[in-house]
Amino acid sequence: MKRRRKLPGEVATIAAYGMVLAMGVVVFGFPLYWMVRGSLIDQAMWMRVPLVWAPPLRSLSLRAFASIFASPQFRMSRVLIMGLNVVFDCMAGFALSKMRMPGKRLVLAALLITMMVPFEGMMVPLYLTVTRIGLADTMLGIILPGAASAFSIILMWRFFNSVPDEMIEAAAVDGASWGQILFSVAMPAAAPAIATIAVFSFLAGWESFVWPMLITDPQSTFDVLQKVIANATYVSMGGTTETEWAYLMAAALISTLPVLALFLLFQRFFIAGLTAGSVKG
Amino acid sequence: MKHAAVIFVAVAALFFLLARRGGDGGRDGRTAIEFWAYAGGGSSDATIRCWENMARGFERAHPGVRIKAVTNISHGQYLSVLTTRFVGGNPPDVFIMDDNATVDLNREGLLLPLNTFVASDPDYQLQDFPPSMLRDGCVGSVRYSIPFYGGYGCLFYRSDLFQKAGVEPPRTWQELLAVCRQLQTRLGMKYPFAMEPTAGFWMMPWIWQNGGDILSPDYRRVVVDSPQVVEAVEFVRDLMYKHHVMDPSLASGTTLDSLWSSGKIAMMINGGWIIGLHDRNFPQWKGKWEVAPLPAGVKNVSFFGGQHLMIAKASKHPELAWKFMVYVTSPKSQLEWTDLTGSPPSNLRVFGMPEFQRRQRHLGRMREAMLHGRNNPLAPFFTKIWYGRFQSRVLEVVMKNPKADVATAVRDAAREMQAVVDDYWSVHPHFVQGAPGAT
Amino acid sequence: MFLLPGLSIIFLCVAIPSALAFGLSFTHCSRFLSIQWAGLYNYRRLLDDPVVLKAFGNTVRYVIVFVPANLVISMAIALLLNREFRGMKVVRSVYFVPVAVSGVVAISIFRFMFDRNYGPINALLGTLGFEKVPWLWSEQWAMWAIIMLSLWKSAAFFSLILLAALQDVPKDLQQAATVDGAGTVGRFVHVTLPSIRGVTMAVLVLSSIGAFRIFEPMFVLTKGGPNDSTQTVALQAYDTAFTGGELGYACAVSFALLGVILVATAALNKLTARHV
Repeated sequence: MKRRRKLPGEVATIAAYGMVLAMGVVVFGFPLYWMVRGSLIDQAMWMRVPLVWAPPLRSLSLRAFASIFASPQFRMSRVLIMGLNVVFDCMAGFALSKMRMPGKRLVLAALLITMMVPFEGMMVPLYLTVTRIGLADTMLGIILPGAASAFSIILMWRFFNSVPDEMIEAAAVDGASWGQILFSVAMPAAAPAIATIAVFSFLAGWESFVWPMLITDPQSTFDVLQKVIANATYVSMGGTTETEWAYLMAAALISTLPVLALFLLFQRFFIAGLTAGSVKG
Repeated sequence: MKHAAVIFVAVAALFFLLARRGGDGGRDGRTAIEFWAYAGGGSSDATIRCWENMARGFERAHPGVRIKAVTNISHGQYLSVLTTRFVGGNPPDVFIMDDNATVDLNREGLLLPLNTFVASDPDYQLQDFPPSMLRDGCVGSVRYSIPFYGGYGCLFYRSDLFQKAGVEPPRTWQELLAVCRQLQTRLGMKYPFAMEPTAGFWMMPWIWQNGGDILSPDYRRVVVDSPQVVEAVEFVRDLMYKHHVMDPSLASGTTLDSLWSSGKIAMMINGGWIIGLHDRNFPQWKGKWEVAPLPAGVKNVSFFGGQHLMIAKASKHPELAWKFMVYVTSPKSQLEWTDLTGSPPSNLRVFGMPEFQRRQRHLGRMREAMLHGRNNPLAPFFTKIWYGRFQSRVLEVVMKNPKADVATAVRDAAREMQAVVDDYWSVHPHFVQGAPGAT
Repeated sequence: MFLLPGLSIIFLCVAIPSALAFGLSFTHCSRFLSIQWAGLYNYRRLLDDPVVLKAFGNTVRYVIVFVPANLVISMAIALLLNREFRGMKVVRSVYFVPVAVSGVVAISIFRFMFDRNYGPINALLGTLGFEKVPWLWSEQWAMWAIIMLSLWKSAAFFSLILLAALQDVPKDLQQAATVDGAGTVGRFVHVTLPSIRGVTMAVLVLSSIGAFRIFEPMFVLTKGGPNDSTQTVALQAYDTAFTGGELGYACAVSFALLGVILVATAALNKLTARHV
């Protein structure tokens, strides 16, 4: 097929589109540069003003990364939380969407309401609850509060709603059980949403820093990376002399890159739509 | 249903696997006491290492004792995490805490009185420690904590620039103005002096030095609405807008670090706790800086407060805990603390040690500040009234706006502060305050 | 039955603590859990407390600005990214960075961005001829800086959700509309938007709830200042509980917020239901 010459109007549109896209890349991608630069320079360079955008190669060092990798056993809990979260939320969202049961609206409303209490208000009672059932200082204690999230359940509910009922019925007619339906039919169809909530649960929000510190014996080796970020993070305004910036940036980079890499690799799940042909005819 | 069943079995197995406890196992027949301190006060790595050394040193001196040291919690979370241990019923035996928190802990009856230990232990001498910190550790005549480390504010100055201009570090407010003017004329420096004008913390010494105060000694009345306080606030503001010796943009985002780093200032008021880190953060000024006590006003007072050691009432080994406390406040340990973290020692005898004088020249000059120090009122509502009300309503407003009337702002803030204080007393009529902290 | 694991965790880890917190809101409770009955004292007090009231005001204003802006920007980005060409995968990954970076680290980065003297934003303003703005230190501008930061993070996240939803827009409907003579805008309004209605509504509701609870940026950057201009309800709840040690009061503040969110969500539902 011969490619036709582009009209001037089209070129302008493409150029404008490209510019906007590029601006976005700079705006959204800035942290990557910041973290890479920050993790390789030393404390004195951090303090230097005005900012040295491209520090000389001589002054860079991998010291920060070395000290993080020297600590054992990091990253475990967040992966576990993510895994459990995705599974449980999908199950719940699917059930709410496709299965028949009484009181659905009540459950949904209640879920929505549970999202409204700020974590700070709940923190102490949560600690009491979790410790009273004996989960203080256990891996389960760390991951339990994160293992299901009302936000994700509601999101999954919405997405499963948009999966046509006919698909489900077709599979049921073929003799599949609910479990099979969920895992082989519904989830692939809502793959974008699943990927999204997986990332969402993997993210380190403020609660996920404070919670493990509260619930575990601080000496235990759970989740060193988390502790590094938490330890280096609470900088008061202007009081920057106490944070080990390079260490913090290295830790941040280590926690960001895997997520980015996963996103890049599995992006087609984000672009997946309904498989064509499964509904027609 | 089959799949669901498989899932549930898997999850249940996971459950049991994960309900295993973390932390260290291993009992070895030694008596164990648990010690907590927070990381920071200089540099986290250094403090952690220092506590490690001290714990091992103590164990060597006392075979049969094991110290379980928890020292890697950052300051921001420390109180919350420590509190949850208390709430859970198994607090550490001995721990470090900010002086502000001793009042809280004491009110709940969680601390062990130390008077008998102090009186009967020949290795521990009260006169080795700064009087204001010793007062902070008492409620009435009962002593609940002993000082470990105190931080103060000091005047950092560029000795090379001072030499060039032929000036000495100012000892009074008037001298401060004079020195600034000379630096301006002789060196052409625009704004020679800097401090954080909107920080309630740094305003306290100025207020005290002018004879003003924040709370009455019984902690019931807010006394900040006074001409002395207004004068102090106005003096600092005048430094920016009337005398033009301080950069006004310090009130709206410019940091001390950036000014000091770029060499635009010759003097700054900062904390003694950065003395140890200074050369690492600002290697360009190595050998070109010194510290001096804060310039005095009508009175010569500096802010001085810090970390204390205390024993939980629930501890099963209070005598061992006490011995550990004595060990870490001994001159030898304190010297090690200073060497590793660059933070000042609280044991005054360290100042006389030749190794200290050789290695810690800068800190040596601050002994005076420690003896003229006082702490902020140790009341649970202090943070709220001082930082939440005074700083927000007064400092953050008047320091940016030279036309704002300080007296009115102070009066309005005082009214809000009194409301908070009154509310606190009405809910806790039996509150027993800590040391009034008067000099 | 499928609901069991997810729901029971939420019940245990959210519902029960919330109920406990609700109970605590009627007490005076110290950080060491010494409890004293207080009845409605806390609720009455928060109605008189100037800082808490200001926090509510700030929070509501934040929501009113943030939620619509978030929706519009997320939608715009989703449309922008909804094309295929070589390298688009990488471009999308870059747009994904705000989501991947830990919240607190991103906020620290933004502190630098908004630095009065050395931050790129003021530098840009300078070259465009505007005066430098003391962002985080100015009563008027601090909240705007935080709104920008939140939008940056949130739009990246929600744009992905919308992008995923856009994939499900039936292509045949779009083709039919083009055949009927609809332009790009027409197609968007009449075909695309209705198809993603469900997800759009979810984005609205979820981002609103999140916006009411906004906490991290203020906590790391401004601690509610200057002069309480960036004080929010969640921040006040934290402050009163952990700095002030008044757990009962903090819980009352939290539940007052819950009330506001409930009202707002109900109003939102009413408003959007009419456009079915």
